[in-house]
Amino acid sequence: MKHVAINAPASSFEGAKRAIDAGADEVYCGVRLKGIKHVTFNGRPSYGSLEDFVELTKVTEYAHARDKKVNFVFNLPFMADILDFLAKPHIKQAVKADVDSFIVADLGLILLLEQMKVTTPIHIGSFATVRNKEAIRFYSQFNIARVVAPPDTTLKELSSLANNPYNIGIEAFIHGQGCSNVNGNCYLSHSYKKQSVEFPNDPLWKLDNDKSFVSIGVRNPCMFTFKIEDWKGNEKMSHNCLNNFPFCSLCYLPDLLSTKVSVLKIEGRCQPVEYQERVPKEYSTLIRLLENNDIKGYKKHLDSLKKNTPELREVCQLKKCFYEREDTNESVSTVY
Amino acid sequence: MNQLVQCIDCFDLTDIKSIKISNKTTELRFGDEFCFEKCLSSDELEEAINLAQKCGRRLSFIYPRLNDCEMDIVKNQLCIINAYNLPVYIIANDLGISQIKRSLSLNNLKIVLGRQIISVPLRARPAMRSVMGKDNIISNFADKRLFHLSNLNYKLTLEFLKKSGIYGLEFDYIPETFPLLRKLQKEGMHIYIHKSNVMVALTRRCHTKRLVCKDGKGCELICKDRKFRLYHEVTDELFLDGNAILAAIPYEEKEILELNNENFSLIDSYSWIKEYIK
Repeated sequence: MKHVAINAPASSFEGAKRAIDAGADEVYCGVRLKGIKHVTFNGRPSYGSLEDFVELTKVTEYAHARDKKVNFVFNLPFMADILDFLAKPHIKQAVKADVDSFIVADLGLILLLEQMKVTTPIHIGSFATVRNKEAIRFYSQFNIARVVAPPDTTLKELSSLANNPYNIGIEAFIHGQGCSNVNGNCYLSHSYKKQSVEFPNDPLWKLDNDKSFVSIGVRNPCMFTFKIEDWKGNEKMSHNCLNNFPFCSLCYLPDLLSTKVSVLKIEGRCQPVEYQERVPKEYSTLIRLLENNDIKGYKKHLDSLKKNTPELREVCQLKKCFYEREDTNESVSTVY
Repeated sequence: MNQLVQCIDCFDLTDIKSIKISNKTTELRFGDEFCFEKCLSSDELEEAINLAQKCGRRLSFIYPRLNDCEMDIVKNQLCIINAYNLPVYIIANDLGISQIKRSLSLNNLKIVLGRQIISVPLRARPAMRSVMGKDNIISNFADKRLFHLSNLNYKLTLEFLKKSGIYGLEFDYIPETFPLLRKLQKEGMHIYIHKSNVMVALTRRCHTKRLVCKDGKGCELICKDRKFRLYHEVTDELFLDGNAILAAIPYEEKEILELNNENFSLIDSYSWIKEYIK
């Protein structure tokens, strides 16, 4: 069976080192824009990014010495002329740091990399929401090596994407915080300040105590309990209907391997280093067992993991699985 | 000038002959930008085309983002539509559709990029300025100079789209963005704006179905009769229509005056929201 790589998040050299030592084949990270808080090229606040390009160089040197890769997050979904003067030096420094790829979602940034004659391969990020082979074909005119499937891609769709004739690898999300809203089209502001919002009385938010396996922490409006009223005023209710919750795919690893995706991605650049170490460690152990056809060993390790990880048990009880084994060709909007 | 796009719901297609076409309508649009279940079947295309021809209106079809199964259906539909030898406008929220037009040389189709392909920070709820916090030079700069742009206000992107033969672009009703849309118009793009609504989020795991339908059952297009207003002090009022979450901004004709010429169309979409705009 061909090896499936694990791509783990890193927001510091320490996090990257621990993820690589724990078994991650690749790490992905961004670098903050110095002195600028609310504009970032990598979709994460400063605590979810490397400090500077000196730190990035440390990460790439460490990774390359161990035959691992570093993917540079450059996935701002919105490029404008006014950002050119920031983007160009950012790109040059990333190339100088010897990153293995640029994760990009905006067409303008792809064109800028082309204009600057950057030969580092491009990965199309999940914000670009590529769901079909025609869209992959569109992007194949550029220097694209991989497409990151959006988190709401089904197993069947992953199989179809992985079977593309353009020699472009597919990366699938497997673990982390998320919600069912389409990533690349969600404008519910992230990281809203905690103190201004009361938390819903929902068992999920009590999982905050141990962050080593469950990714929670960012306060998003999709967590809120909304007052809901039917448009004709007939029915009123309160519900956190926009469903933000953590995801897990431990039980779906055999299904994921059979889709022939080339890389599995863990979300969590804003999570602590304990999470950034533990999650790739557990997934790489399980994948190694499956790649050696040791299904019994996989099930035994999985049972032990659930038994010894209370927050994981709670996620299981709430059925917050990333994937479903649906047997239908129905449009996903009717599958849930 | 007032070119107005009337959106024909899939729910109305069962009795297509009795659909009322407003005198102000210059274009009929079929399909849905968010949900493939609400797009026309291949059997319904001929009726839609006949209706547009009969009332002498421009014809357009809108499609959401598609998986491979859905793309196969749409590919077939685009070939059927192209074979009519009429100018037809295809609003594509998936770059795969523009790829199909190019690779199959479907020259009667004019591609308009839908709003899911276009990024606009000012769609954010709550608004970016409230997330950024206290005034400082950077947040003021970002608020005034950056966030009202779109990803099309970039020379490389615009050149590429023009070379690729993209006919037009679709936007939300966010008046702060209109001066920059005027610039895009001057570059030759036809601009469409959705009247009074802003796309905030959408899902493939339909929130309406989850709220209303029993587990394991199909949605049966329940969103025809069930739509919702959502309220939280932090986001202000939002509107849930099927799998889409929208915000509303009151329409004022004076705001589109500068845009209103032969390269501009106003889309009368999600008209139910207008009743609730304060």
